[in-house]
Amino acid sequence: MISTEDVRHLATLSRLRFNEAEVAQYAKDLGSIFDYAKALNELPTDDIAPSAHAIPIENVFREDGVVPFDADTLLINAPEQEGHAFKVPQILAD
Amino acid sequence: MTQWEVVIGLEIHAQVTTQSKLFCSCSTQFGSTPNTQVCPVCTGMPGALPVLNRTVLDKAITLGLATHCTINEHNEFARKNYFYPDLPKGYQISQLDKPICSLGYLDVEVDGSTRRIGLTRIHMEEDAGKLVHQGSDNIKGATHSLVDLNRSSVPLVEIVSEPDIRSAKEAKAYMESMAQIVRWLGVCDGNLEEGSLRCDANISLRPKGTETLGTKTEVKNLNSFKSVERAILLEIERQTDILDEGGTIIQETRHYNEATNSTKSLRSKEEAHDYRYFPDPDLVPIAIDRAWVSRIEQTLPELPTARHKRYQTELGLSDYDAGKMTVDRETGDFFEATLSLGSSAKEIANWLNGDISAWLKEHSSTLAICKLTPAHLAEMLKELINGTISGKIAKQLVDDMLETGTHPSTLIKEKGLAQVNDTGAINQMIDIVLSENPKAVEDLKAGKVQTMGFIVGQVMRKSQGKANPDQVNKRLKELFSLS
Amino acid sequence: MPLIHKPATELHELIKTKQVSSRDVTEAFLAQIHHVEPSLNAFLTLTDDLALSMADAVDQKVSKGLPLGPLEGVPIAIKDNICTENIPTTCASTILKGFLPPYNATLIETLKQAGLPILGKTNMDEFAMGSSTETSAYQKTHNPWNVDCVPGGSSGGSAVAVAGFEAPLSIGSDTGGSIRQPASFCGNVGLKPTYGRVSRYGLIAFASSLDQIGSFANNVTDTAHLLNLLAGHDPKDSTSLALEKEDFTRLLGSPKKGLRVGLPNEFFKHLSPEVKALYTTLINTLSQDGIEFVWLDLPSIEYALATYYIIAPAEASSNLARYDGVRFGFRAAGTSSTAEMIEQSRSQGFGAEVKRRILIGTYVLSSGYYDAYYKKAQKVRTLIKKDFDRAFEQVDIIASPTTPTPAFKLGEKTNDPLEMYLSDIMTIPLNLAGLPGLSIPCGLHNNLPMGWQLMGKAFDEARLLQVAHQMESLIGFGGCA
Repeated sequence: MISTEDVRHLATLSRLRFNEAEVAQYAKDLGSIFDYAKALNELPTDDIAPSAHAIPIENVFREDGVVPFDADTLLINAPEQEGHAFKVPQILAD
Repeated sequence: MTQWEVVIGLEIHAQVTTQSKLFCSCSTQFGSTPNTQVCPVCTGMPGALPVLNRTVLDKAITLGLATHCTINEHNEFARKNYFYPDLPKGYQISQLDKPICSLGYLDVEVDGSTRRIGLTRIHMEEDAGKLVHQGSDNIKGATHSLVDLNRSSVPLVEIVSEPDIRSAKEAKAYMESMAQIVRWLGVCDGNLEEGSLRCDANISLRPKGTETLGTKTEVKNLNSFKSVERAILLEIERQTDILDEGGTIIQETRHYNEATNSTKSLRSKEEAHDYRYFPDPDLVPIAIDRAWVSRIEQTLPELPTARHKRYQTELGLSDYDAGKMTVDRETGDFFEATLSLGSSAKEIANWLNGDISAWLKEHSSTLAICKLTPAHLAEMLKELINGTISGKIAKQLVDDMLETGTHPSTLIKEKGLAQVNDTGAINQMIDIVLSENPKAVEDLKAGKVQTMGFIVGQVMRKSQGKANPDQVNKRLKELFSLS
Repeated sequence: MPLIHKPATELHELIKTKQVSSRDVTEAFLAQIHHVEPSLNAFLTLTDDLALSMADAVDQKVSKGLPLGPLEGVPIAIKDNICTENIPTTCASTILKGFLPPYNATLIETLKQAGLPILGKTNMDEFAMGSSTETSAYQKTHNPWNVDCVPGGSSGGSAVAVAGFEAPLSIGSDTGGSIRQPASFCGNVGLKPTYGRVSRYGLIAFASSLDQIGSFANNVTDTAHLLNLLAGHDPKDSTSLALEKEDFTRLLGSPKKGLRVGLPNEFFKHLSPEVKALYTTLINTLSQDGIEFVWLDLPSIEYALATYYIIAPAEASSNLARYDGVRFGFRAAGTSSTAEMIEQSRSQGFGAEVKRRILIGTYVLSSGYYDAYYKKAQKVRTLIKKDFDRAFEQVDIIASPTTPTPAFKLGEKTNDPLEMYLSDIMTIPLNLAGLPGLSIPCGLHNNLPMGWQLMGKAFDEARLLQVAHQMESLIGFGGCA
């Protein structure tokens, strides 16, 4: 069971805002999905190592060294820009 | 009234000295124009992927070995998820339950005794970017803010201590010791002004003699050794006041303001953090075998505390001199190099502590960038010991060597600074001085030993300091049968 | 036969032997695009100028007598979740409206180097989250076999581009079946290589440990030639495999003797009697050619869908945190603080399905639920891998239907997420195990194509393509007229 309170908490954590109808809908959707996912508990997995990756690879590195990048091409996408920086509204609300 | 015991743990963030960032090839140079050392990876552009800088891993292992940590054979990166405009990906790549190093310690000298501070862990992580608030001096009252991502993904190691620290003074000593070690190892440049070394302190009090930890607060923004001590003192005082009045400590984060020497709660209406750590699927696990660790072990330099002890026991240096000679790696290595060229430890220490350090201070220079080399210093000391130059000339020479980098023997030759040891020449100068000072001669004849100093001074002046004063003394004693 | 109906390898031969120019070929496909797009809507962005200039460069090489590389001169379409420098790349999401990537995905660099003219960027489910391409924020793509039906997803645009003869080849990405399922719905060959075979650098992440770039083509031979180009180690992708270059066409046309193909019982459970009959007939036909079929049990496969719907949203919830309106993409107007700006940009910029998966992922990673959901799913993932490992001790290849049904109607499943997720039930296990798989068309059901999924061992694409090629010629599927 996923409560509307749960959905509101998840929305806050993931920086999403919903109206009441959406909250209710997502609570229902998530509820049915997690009900379905409960089936996993049928499988004993105590001695099983978790897999974080599809294919086991280890130790991939690069050597320390500078490769410059044309940073102006990054700023082209800035929704708002001031000088050579990305501009955002005030951090603390009034 | 209850006696309180102070319990402190420090989290030190040290920027690992590298050319490029932790997960991309952007420069880590400090102080550049905003957003010029950035690329798709460190700005969190869609589709960009991280690749680990191997040097960071090696340096983290180096630090772990130097602090007696276990180097974990299997370690991995995890994502720490939270939103902030200076965090481009919406998560920080860090390490959680599989850090590179765990369970070590650092021995710290406090008031002449050694305190062993345990280390919980050392892990690698990336730094965030920087927010510059506009329209106000700080975040409050700002009209808007600017995001600079030059610092984003700069490599850090976070060194987490056990709650083993018992006073503000110990905390400061621990921080200084750690700073010395990371600099010594070349893991971090230890530049506090540029934020290469930052510290947060977890502080709690408990009734003396009890074991249970009290509620802690975290004090952030301790960016100098002085701040560490002062902020902790403040917080101890604040907590003591509350507890003495029967109040309770609220677990919170407090921000230290160096300018006003005060701390302020950062409590906000924000929800409790839930970082939702999970293994980063874009990075693969790291497996460190024994051979890798040994390879680094072999490159591990003698650590400052060990060297300090050795200088006292083997070289007979005083505690003060030994400390000065191990204050940082450059001094230590300069000392060692000069020593290996045959100079006496005490002499080298005297010169490095005295004239050389004074000159460097005056010229805002360091041993690494000045023109003096161990070979030149050793040569100068040799000339001094064998009497080619006087102590006074040596002082002059050192300044010239520091300034110009010229070999001391060249300077001695060019400037004619060699001490006059030629008996004939010295006797001649003595004769002239005596003929010019008949009164003094009378006094000497009358056995007035005090007058000898005057005559020696006159001879030294005439020789521009080059006459060997021992020889002058000897000759005068012969002439006037003084003993 | 018009140029646009010819397979890619044949087009390349014609260009190489100067019978047609790359410009002729490219223009023919562009003409078809402009002709059918109003009814198919496969493309989000067309790059006619880029395609033609790349074609001209190939033609110049030909006229100078310079040798051409494999497939050089043959145009290709790209899914819109692959970064193309200075060309809009949106993931079919409002939040990336107008985003101009500052760099090319490694794959795009490869294709530019290889001289395959890029026709445009294809429609998809928003951030590749969907099975019908209906979650695109921009348009609905239609199945050329029946325009009332979905093309499948999430790489629906790329599947339709090939099925509608708008492109001889196209690139997709497959996280839980996003290439194989639309290939099945659209009657073409869709390949998902082994995880790590093709660089993910520049592929906009949905679920990093599952995402893999792959291709659509008209036949297995074209697919194998294209994989020769796509495969390769990339130092910019830590999960990219450092393997020797190999020729994936080397086994084509020489059928393996004593081929053993495994049929997992679990994959045949959920079929309607009619669909089941279609596959029974197919298996009988192929058996007559000396292919031995073996029924297998892969018990943990039953849990693959649940596992997937924990792992994929978990990774996605984190991968999609970077869309905050600060540095690129959509920013909500009229907000009074950064926190509000971020929240509004995300709320207005993401569609309902994306938000649903972000919520699921946030939940399974949050404190108190991590072990019960996320870690549990990772452990089941290990069991699924082990089941495949065991199966491949007995057989060379595993086969199954690609989807339980043919293409469904537009709008039919949009209101029931779980029902929609179930259409990926056959394709998801492979992504969890990281193994290569492809779908080849194998017949029609209600006048809509059905796919035959072949699954191989890790790194064994050459074998997979060999078997697919053998079966393809036995099946003799005609394609979309």
